[in-house]
Amino acid sequence: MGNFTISHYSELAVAAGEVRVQYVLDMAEIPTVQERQRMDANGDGKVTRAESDAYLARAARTLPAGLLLRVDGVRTPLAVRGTSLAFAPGAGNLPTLKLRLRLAAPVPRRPGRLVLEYADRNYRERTGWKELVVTGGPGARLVETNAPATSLSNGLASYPADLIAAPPQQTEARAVVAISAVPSRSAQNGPASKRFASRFTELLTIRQLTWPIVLVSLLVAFALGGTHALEPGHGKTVVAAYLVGSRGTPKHALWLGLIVTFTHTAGVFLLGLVTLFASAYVVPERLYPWMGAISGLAITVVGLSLLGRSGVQAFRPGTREAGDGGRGGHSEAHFEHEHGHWHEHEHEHEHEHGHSHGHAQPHSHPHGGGHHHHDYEAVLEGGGVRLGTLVALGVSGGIVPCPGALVVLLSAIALHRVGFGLALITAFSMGLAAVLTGIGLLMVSARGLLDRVPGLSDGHWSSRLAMVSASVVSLLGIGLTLQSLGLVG
Amino acid sequence: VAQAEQAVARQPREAEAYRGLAIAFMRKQRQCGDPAYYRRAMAAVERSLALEPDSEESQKLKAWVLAGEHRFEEARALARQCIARRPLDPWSYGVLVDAEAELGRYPAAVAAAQRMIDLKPDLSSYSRAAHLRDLYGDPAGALQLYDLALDAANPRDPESIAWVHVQRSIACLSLGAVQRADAECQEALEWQPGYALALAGRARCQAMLGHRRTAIQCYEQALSVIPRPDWAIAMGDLEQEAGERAAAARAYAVARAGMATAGTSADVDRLMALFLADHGSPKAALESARRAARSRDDIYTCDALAWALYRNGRCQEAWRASCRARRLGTRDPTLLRHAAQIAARPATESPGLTRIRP
Repeated sequence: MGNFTISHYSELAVAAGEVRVQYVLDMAEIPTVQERQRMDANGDGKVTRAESDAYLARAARTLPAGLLLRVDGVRTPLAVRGTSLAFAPGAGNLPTLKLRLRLAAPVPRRPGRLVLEYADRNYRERTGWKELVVTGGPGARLVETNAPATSLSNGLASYPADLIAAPPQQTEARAVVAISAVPSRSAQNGPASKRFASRFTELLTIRQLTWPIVLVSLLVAFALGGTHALEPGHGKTVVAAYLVGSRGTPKHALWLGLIVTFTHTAGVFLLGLVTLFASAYVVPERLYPWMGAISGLAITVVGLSLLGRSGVQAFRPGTREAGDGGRGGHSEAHFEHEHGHWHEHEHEHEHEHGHSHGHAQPHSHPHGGGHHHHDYEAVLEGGGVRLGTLVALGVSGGIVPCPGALVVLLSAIALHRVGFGLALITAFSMGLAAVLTGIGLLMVSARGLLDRVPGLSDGHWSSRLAMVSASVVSLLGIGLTLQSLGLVG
Repeated sequence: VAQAEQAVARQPREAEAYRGLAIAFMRKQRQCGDPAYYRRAMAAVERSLALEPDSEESQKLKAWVLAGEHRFEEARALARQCIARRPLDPWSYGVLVDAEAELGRYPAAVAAAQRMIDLKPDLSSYSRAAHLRDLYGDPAGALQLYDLALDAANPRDPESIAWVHVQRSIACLSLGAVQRADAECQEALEWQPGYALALAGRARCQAMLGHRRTAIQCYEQALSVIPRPDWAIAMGDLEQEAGERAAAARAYAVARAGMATAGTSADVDRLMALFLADHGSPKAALESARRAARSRDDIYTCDALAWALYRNGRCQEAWRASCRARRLGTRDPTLLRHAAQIAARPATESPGLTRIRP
């Protein structure tokens, strides 16, 4: 683009009840000089923060007047939801300017068809890259539009290097949208989602991310991770922690925490990265509904299988004395083993539990779970804790993303907040590891204490907790699936 | 452009489609003034040449784009090659006229323009010949040729008609008919509302008529479409005269930004020389002017050199350069004003006195 271009970008996201507009102006060096002169109220040749803020506030009043939106022929004003202004270095040691507005306007929520007409009349006489994108959203399907669904310039972030392709010059768009009766459960559409979301996932659905909210969210995620460590699902790791406690040193406990955090986060991140890469090659708008549907189904299956296990467990009198070691296997078992094997793990872990107390018994289990057993044995037989064994324990405890973290990740993808989701998962994993390490440290200082902590050794308590958590996960999965199918359809 | 793009999409292996796209980009450039479109046009031409390396059509388009990018030496060489291969095609003569004139080889430009008119008397050949007549100090003859150009114009191409009216306004200024020049710009604006060239032309006329506020408004309008540094400088000078120092500084800042981001070229050097000569850096002005003069010998580069020399107190050399700038007898008011000031140099300056002695 030339040195005096003003490039425009409008992204209209239509949803039931609301249309949102992302508006970006990218000014080249010369118009930036001109705009900075307008900012410089006292004429001292410098632009202070207060001056640029005042300019942005003025722009937030004047620019929307040039953005014409008609809904079914009725002029609908766009309200400003957010603004930002940034300078980037350009040619000749001069800055360029990027101004962003987030706008929104109400549209009818009732099922039926809507005709949207949009026109950008700002800086019409100036040459530039003028791009317009229209997408559907929750409960709103695009029937027809003369605007593309994706940006060639990634919202003016990077202009294609191919000079042959002419800069788009679209400043007007028309779209016919079908509003469906799908109940709005998405983050954008507010409180209805709370019926489905767990506390953790709710963190993702906060409308606007400000720093205090991010900090509080991370703290809450940390705390939830900690409590999650006490829920069924990490029993195996708790066993490891216990073993560390019985045989290891504080250093071993810390290592275990680190390894669990790392593998747990890495496992979830890997999944997230795969999704992000996939979205680079597939149009995200097309990918997300399907990803969302598949994720939703996966979460549902996870939830239902958890429900099945915890339900059976709650009514098995034999498990009451199983302790943390016994609880451990089954929540993870569904990732590694056939459903029917759960009770055999149970026995296995019961044996292990016994081993840890030094009651050696014959053990030969033909199914795949046996290696855990030997891991623990190795720890014992070594007469201490070797680092390799510790790593193996930590990895096996952390590598498989636990349902909670998986739910957050998949929800993050479904809600288009992958980055924030990953940050939350890190905090969550750290909370988890902190508690596991804490238990390990506790064991180191007071061996055998674990048995006497009622909350940890009471099988009934943990079984009910497992059922509640499994139900929440199942409902969340069903909700996400339905919402995503609404987008697909 | 959209149609040309569709043609390329339909036939991505056809050189003709890329040539169509290049022409569309050149038209777009003329319409919006963004030099980035020259780069796009060049990319399209190169693509067509990659498909048909020996295509005469692509070569002559390339010469045109080169002239647009102000790479006049290359444009001149390629246009001459094209003429050698196809002596009866008027197109390349047009590119040759422009390149020769910008490089200061006026007799060659005149010969090429004459040949072009003989081959095809139309708007582009008449208006080029008219411009040369104006440079040779015959604005009345130029206006006659511009009349012929308008007669030959396609009424469905208002942009070309508006352009001819702006050219007529320049000839009128050479005649000293400032009111008429202003009227020509207004007529151009009727053909093409908001036409930046006409707005800037009008601003110049209004300034000469003493209507400073109107002139500044016209420059503001023109700059809001194309912030050309030369216009920004002219507006800054008017604000300065009006005592609006802050407004003048703002206009000069826009001009500086334009020159700083336009890359390096003789055009920027020439303009920079005039600007710096008047705004505090005569030494740097002279460097710029000398750089420009190394690659071009046109009358406006000579004038910029003369002015920079004058501002450095080197009045004798300045006078010589000024004479060279007026070697065709051009009656451009700016050239004449500079020449008058150089001739009436302050008596205290010794270099000027030495000119009179011998």
